[in-house]
Amino acid sequence: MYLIAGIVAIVNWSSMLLGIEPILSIGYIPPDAGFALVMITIGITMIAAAYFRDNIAKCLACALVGSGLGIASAFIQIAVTLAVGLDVIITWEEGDVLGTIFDVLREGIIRADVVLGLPALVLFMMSYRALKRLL
Amino acid sequence: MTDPIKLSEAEVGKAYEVIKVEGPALIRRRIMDMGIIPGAKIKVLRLAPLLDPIEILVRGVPLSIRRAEAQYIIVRETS
Amino acid sequence: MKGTIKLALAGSPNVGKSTIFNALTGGRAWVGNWPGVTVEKKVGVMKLNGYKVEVVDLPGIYSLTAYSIDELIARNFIIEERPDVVVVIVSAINLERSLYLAVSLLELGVNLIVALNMVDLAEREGYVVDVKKLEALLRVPVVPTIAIKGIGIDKLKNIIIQSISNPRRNPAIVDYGDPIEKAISRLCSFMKTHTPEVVHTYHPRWLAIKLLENDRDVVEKVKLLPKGDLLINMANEMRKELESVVGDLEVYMVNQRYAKILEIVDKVVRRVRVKGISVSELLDTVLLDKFLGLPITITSIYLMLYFAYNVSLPLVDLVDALFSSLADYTRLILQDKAPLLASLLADGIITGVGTVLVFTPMIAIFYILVAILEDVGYMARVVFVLDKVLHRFMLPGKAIVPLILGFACNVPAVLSARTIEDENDRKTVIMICPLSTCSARLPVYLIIASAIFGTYAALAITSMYVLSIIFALVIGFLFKSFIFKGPSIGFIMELPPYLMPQSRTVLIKTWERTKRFLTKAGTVILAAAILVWLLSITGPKGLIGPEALEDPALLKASWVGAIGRALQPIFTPMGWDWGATIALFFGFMAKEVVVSTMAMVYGAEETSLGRAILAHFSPLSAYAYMIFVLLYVPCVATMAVIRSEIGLKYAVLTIMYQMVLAYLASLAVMFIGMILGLG
Repeated sequence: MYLIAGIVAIVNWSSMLLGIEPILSIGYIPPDAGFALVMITIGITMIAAAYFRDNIAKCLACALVGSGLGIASAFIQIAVTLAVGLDVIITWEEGDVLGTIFDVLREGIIRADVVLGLPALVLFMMSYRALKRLL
Repeated sequence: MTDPIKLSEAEVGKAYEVIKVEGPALIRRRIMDMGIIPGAKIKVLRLAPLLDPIEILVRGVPLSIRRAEAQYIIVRETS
Repeated sequence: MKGTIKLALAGSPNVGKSTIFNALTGGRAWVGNWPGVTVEKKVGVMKLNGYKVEVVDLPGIYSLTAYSIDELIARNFIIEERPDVVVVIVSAINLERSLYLAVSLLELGVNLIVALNMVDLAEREGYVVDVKKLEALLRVPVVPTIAIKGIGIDKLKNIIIQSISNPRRNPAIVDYGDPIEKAISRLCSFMKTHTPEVVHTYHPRWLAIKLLENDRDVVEKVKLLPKGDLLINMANEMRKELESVVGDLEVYMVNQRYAKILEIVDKVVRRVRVKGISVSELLDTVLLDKFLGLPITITSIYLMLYFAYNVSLPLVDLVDALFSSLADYTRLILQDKAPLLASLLADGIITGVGTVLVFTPMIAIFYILVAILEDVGYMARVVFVLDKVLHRFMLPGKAIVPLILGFACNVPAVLSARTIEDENDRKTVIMICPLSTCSARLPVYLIIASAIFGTYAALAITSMYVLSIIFALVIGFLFKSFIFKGPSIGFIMELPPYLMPQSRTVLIKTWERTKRFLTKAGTVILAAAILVWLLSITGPKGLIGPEALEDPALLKASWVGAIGRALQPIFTPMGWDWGATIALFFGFMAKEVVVSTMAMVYGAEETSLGRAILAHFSPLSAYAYMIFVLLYVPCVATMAVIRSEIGLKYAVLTIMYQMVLAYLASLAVMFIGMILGLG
């Protein structure tokens, strides 16, 4: 459990650094301050989960919240991308509609927060079940 | 018997008993309406991240109270 | 039809009162204000056994003192309107505190029914309430309910019917002990013999208690009655005597009530399971953590805004496109036959209505998110975490919601300030709402910033948002310090347990609020649109015609043009020309109109507006312009709600202070810029 928390934490942690510095750009990380904020928060929450490994309740709670935020952020990003795509369709004036949509979708979805949403989902389910047993 | 202190100076995690509620009538009444009356037990749960307000447990329900109001509540530490 | 029953619904915040209200009335309610004040009044109707029951939702209160306007409203409603029955909602997980209100109501002499809500949550926490015993001790019917699941509602309705033919009251529920009880009896007999009219309106025991407590409101009212003075003096003397024995009488009385409540609760609550840690407590350890709390809260707000803004985008554009085509179509078919009518319809009405409806999807989405967060209980945590910041500026913690909403649109922000209890606080918050940079201003920033600042556009726009927050807090502070003086009673706030939001409640809340937005904003914007249209196509020399809306030269000759030329000199220090000034004027109606106006005035298509802007503005004057747009008057819709919430005087005051602020700020920008040689 803790291992997984640790790995996810490190992954989130490295993505967070790169989120702020547009110089070091890995394609999947947009240079967006809001994005960085979310990533950092999730990252430190995960680290907190590892930090509190002695207190099962708190550790699991951190993992739950952290992964919960991860899922939420992934979901929101997908929703936003779909919405922007939809918007392109609605406001198309000229030009290659399909092409633009693909660009939008690609940019919007192949992103760290969406991709990390999957392990976050797994972590969430695990913490949820563990907590249920505890209570 | 420990000395009475203001709730605003209370420590996190400790349990207290209310001795007296002071202050202007309006604030005092508000505080008492929430069940913070002499004899009531209060447990200090945590401070907000910015150190104000304080979260206290009174009559089984967590409340948020600003230090500026907590200073009117005189309490004594209990075990 | 057997007749009408008047039912008052009372309860503290967080006991599930709105859920029960919706369950009884089907969610349909008339919403307005209590006369003379800015507190919301909600009335619904339900049909029961042939009776028509009018359900009045009293404000959420903890007791019935004279110290807060919400409590006075509830109290006076019961005294003056004499509802046939009062249903008080008591929370099984907050029994002692919520019973305090029930006891206070009993002392008023009402026909009371207690709805014991959230029994499932109590059971989850590990204890059970003996309903029969509670009924026996309170001497009024107690109905256990789980409102969000609809359990107990039918029984509640039956009890309501029964209570009409068989009312149950228990005003003497609290025994205050010998000396006080004697004083109360003496006062009561005095009342009955010397001031019988008093007994007509008030329950004598309650009145006696209030007089002894020196209740401000009661004392004032009794003074006006014949021989009222005698009564008051008698009470005053008694109080002095009693206080020498028991100390502060008010404190003593509250103590006695709670003593009685504790006595009851002790006999009625049974613990069946050892209390473990609850889900809410667990979540709070993380969400309110010293270190994690703040980032999590800010992240949540950010995610919420990010989601709301972007997801509503396609919907907004959809509505916009619909209305544009509708306008074009109207113009097309009527153009030749009645050009004036065509213009009135297309440019005036349709565009006007369109401006309102365009925002509705975004506002609805925001409302949904806010409602969800409220119902889940997270909003209280947000207030808890951020309270210190607001406190520094002498603002209440609850101001956070209006300020956040203001980033979408100022109208719902102003409307949401209703939840702020203190009047002074509420007025202040309402008046700083327009300083939140609403989404309508964004297009203006975007166009100008991208045209003039190029790659630094994002920076410029972000600075607008940051400045908006700073200005809101600082001006709020100034208002609270000098104008709306009064202690910001931070308010002890309950942190309710986390609950799953119910889609029904969320949707009802959102619908109600969106409807209010539409009616309040809609009518005003429509009127403003028509007025502006009129001013554009007519001029000092007479009718110019709808062409004026397309041709800047013709527009110059219209009233709008005249106003523009008159105002323009004021703006010379900023280097804004007539066109920019006119755009600002139109912006009064709805901020995003500034863009389309500029496009029209500079004779550019919206896409090539950028170049036109470059021609008319310098970087400095452009930035000053953005600041002006940020700060100057609220749009007419916001004005209208401010007026309906706190009165015309304050609405006008808002316009004035904002104009002054905007002007000074942009002037300052120009000044500083010139000094720094940015020209």
